[in-house]
Amino acid sequence: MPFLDHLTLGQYVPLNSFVHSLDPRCKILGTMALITSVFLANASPWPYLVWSALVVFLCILSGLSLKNVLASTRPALLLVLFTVIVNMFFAEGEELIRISFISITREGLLTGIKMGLRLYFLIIFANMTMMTTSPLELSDGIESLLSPFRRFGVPAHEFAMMMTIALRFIPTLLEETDRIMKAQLARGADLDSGGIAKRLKAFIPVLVPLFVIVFQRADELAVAMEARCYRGGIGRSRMKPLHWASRDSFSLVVVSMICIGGVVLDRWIS
Amino acid sequence: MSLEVCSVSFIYHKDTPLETKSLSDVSFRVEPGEWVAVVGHTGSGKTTLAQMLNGLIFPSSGEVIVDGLKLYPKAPHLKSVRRKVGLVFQYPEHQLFAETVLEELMYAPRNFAIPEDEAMEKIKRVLKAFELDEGILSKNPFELSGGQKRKVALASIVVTEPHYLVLDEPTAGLDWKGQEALLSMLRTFRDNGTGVIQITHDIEMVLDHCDRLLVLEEGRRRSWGPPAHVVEELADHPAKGLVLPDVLEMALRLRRAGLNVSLTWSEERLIRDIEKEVSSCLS
Repeated sequence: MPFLDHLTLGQYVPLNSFVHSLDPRCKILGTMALITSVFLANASPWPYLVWSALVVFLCILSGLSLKNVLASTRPALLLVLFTVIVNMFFAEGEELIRISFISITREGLLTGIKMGLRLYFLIIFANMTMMTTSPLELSDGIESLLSPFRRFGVPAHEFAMMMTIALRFIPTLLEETDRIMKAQLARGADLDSGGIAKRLKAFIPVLVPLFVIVFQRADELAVAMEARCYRGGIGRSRMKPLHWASRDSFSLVVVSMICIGGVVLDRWIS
Repeated sequence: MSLEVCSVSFIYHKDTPLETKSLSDVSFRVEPGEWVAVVGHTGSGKTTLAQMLNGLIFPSSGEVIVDGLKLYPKAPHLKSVRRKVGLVFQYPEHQLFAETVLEELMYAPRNFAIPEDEAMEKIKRVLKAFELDEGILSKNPFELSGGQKRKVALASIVVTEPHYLVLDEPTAGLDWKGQEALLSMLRTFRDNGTGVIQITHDIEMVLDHCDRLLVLEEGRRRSWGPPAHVVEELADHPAKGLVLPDVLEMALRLRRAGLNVSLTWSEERLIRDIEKEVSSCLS
């Protein structure tokens, strides 16, 4: 199968849905609210049911299938697993299993599962925001949200432009990586067998051309931007100005209520 | 001995909202010593097909068989098939990585476990075929000119002496002289028994060289056969996004106007036919 023949983490899926049509600022603020509440509600299992129901509901509203959303978070599962394991081994409490000097406690196991689940929900919510918001909209939204901090010296436009370029080039570089990997495989390279050292060495013929292409592209882009008189954010107009509509306010209020509800439910039950 | 593509279909991003059918029920066959050109518009599935011939991707349905060996994921003979089918990507110079040209040319032979002395012999042969001096071996490939980089990149694939050579838009970015030199090199490979599969959007470039032509349209086989046969089919029903040579277009218009000229893409032949028609009218 091709290396990139699946949805990657955070890959934008252009569809015509209610969630896609929302203002990016609404989606960013909503995601931040959800992430905050996921980390505040940590005592009982009930909020997790609320977040799960919300993920399903958002899938319906966004036209994305739950299977695709979960499949695209697969690369992050290793991080989730690592979090579970670290928490499992380093918490004190009632011992469940002991192998040599390593012991797994009941409290450790519960904390690990909870931490893993919270991290996974965080990844899912952030992933869904990116799947339903184009990179350009996302950076416009961030620039707009950061603009009040400009008076304190925060370079909102420059930060957003850096993000736009980075996000814009992720798919391009993934394609380039895919192409170079295939070109080297066609020359008999063996990229997926042997130990870590052998695999790292096998990747040199992929990384060197990739770096060359990255520098070439960066140089070309800089020249193209200068040729079009780019001089930073002052006085720049927008082709598609952001427009906050009543559905954005409504959606943000609903998400905030759910977040507060989740935290209150958690505190009340515990 | 042949490279067979049997009713091949391919779907990208299957079961996702980005699902795209790239190839649909495509079949053709390439014999050793035969030059097959695959032409089609952008997005017609040419590159997907090229990658399938080398076992880099596998058909969603249908079969690719190289010299009797069927390609499927993790097939034990995959590496030997990759040696049999050399694949040249578009802008192959983008795959260069080694510190010296010698290391670059040694990369594929080492991967295919070809003994060093045998590999050196092959390198010498390939340098001769590409009209490159042996002094280039100690040079850094990144410091070569664009044309030389392309030659080294091509040589690094051809060095293993594959039975079939698949080239995806090999003339992209080359000037007319470079294109001619490359096509003449491909002719030599074909004459020496290599099956050449050239992928291009430019039908005019391949009409004079190829033995058989496969025209793809939106992932489907639109036409297949010797150039003269394909041209006749395209004359009646043009393929989407495919620009026919100017001479052929002219011949078509003349035929529609009632002149008895052959359906040719050769300027000389068309002029001859017109002259014949004019003299028969005058007499």
